[in-house]
Formats: sequence, structure tokens, C-alpha cells
Amino acid sequence: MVSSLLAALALAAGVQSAELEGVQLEERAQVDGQRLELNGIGLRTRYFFKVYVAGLYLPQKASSAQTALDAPGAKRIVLVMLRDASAEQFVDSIAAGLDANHSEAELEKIQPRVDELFAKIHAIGEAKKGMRIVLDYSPSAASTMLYIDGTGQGEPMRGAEFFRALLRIWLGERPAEAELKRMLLRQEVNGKE
Amino acid sequence: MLKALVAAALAVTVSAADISGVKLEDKAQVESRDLVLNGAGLRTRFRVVKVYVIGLYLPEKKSDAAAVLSLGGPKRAAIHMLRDVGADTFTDALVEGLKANHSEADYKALEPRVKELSDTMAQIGEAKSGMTIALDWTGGATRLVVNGQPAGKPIAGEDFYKALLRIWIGDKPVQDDLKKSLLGA
Repeated sequence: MVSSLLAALALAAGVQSAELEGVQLEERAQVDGQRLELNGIGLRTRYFFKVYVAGLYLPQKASSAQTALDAPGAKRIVLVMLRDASAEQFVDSIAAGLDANHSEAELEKIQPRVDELFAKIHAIGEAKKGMRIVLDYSPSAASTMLYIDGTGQGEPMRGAEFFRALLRIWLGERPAEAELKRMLLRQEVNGKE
Repeated sequence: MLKALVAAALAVTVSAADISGVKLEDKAQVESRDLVLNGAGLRTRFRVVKVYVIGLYLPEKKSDAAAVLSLGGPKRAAIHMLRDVGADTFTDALVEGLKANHSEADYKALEPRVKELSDTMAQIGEAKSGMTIALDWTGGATRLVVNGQPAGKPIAGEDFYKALLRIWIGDKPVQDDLKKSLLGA
């Protein structure tokens, strides 16, 4: 009763969502019992192709990469595919992002988790256009869970450091795409627009 | 119980190096000649993607590249795939490694034979995870052996086999730490 009333109120107030390239991302998400806000939404391009729309959810808004990385609590990264990518392409782009943003020692530490993630991606086989890929960090278990279109993929991947490493693919010193990093952090660019 | 006995027997008779879950035998035979595992290592992409484990087998151990290249007798470079790699990607990597370690003129001389090898790879279609691809120097020719079965025609010329080895142990190896591992460092 209370929940349906709340839902009705929420509907009346208009549940907010952001849209980019026809992809809708809700302004709120719930991970590990925690309410998260959409920190930013951005487009990943490669050459002339639109590859995916990415969304970053955090407990509190962050406009700097460091704040986002250091923020305690639950976090979520959502990728909605705008084109097909093979498992190899997907693995390679994650690997390139990890490679660009970590030292040898850091990579060595997370390698077992990286192997787990890559095995999951190979098991899925292909990132199809329209697919919704979610990486959730749960502080209660200090682990990262991969969801494809809402379905959990195997076991969670342990360790807080692994999720931070994944975040660095988009928010690190050498991000996958500078413009996407700015969008995820909703940073203004002086003199632009 | 029986399993344990078998395991114990295996442990005694066969010693093998284990790299990323790939067991490499300490010995191999090419043209009924006994070869020893000189070294083995992991080829990675972006440091975290495991592509293959490669083992280099020689008639006797050598710890520097020049000594390996000038050593007579059969040789084997055994590649154990850890991910699927399309024939085109495999060939591109091969050509890139050859070009990096040879002058344009030297590469030109190799090119027809590179084509022979890439045609054989194209027939195989894909280097599948779990597949073992050996590049053997028989003493008279280069032979591709896929999962223990010879594939394609033998390719003539020791210069070609040496050129292949330079992909991994040349002056511009495909991966520095892999070169060191293959030389037993």
C-alpha cells in the first residue's frame, strides 16, 4: 500500500531518466541496498562508430575522477551497446584500458579477477547491439557482479581494488575516451558549446 | 587410489613446466631426435590478456639468441593457444614480427614462404583456444604441426625457420620478457 502510493507519487513527480542516442538511463539505481544517482552519461566512439552509451552511478555526485574512485559505498557502471562487438574485441578494449592505467604490480594483483571477467565475457560470446552490460560494486561483499540484460553472470569477482581498476578504464589518467570521462563526471569544458 | 598411483607415476616419469595452466613437456622429439625445453613463456596482449604459451625445444640448451639461431639440428617452437585467434590475425602477427626483425630486402626473400605458411593457416581457419601449433625445423624444412598432425607442405630453407624464430628471439622480439623466458632466463 505504502509502496504503491510512493510509486504513484514518483510517477506523478515524473521518474527522471537521461537519454542519449536513444538509450534511456534512469537517474536512480539501487545496488547492495544503497540508492545511487546517475553521475553522468556519455557516448563511447571508436573511429566513426558509436560503440556504447555508458552511465556511472554513485551514492553521491562526484565531478572529479579521484572523488568518484575514492567514494565509499556501492557503484554501478552501465554500458548499453550501440553495435555488435565480439568477445575478443570486448576483452581487448577492457584490457587496453587496464593496461593504460595501471602499473605492472597493480595488474599482477588483479590478474585473477581479470581472468574471471574475461572468462565470463568469452562465455557470453558476443556483446550484441542493445545489450545492457552492468558492473555493480557491492561494498558489503567487496565484490563486483556482472549482469547482462539483468541476469547475473556467474560468481561475483572479489576485491574492492578490482572495481576501482575497472573504473579507471573510463575515469583513469588515460581514459578510454577523454570526452566520455568528462561526460561521466559532468565536467564543463570552458569555451565549449 | 588407482588415480593417486597413476598421478604419482606420472609425476615421477614426466616432469613438465606449467605456465598459465599449460603443461609443457621437458622433452620433445622432432625427426626422432630428442630435444630439450630451452625455455617457455606467456604471450600477452595489453599485459592482461593471455594469448598463448610458447615453448622452445632445442637439441641442447642455449641461453643467447645468436647461439640458438646458429645451432644445428631439429628445433621446435610449440605454441599452445589460450584464446581464439583468426587465421588473418595470426598471419598479421607473423608478418609484423618478421618485418620488425628483417630488412625490407630480407623480408622480400621470405615473402613467398610466408604466403605458404599463411595459406596453411587459412586452411586451418582459426587458431582455437586449446590448440597446439608447432613450428618444427626438421633439419631440412619448416613443418607446421597442429595438434600433433603435420599441416600443409614443408617449407624450404633454414633462413625461413631462423626468420620465424626471430619473431620471438630477434633484436625486436614480439615481447621482451618472453624472449628472456625462451632463452631460459
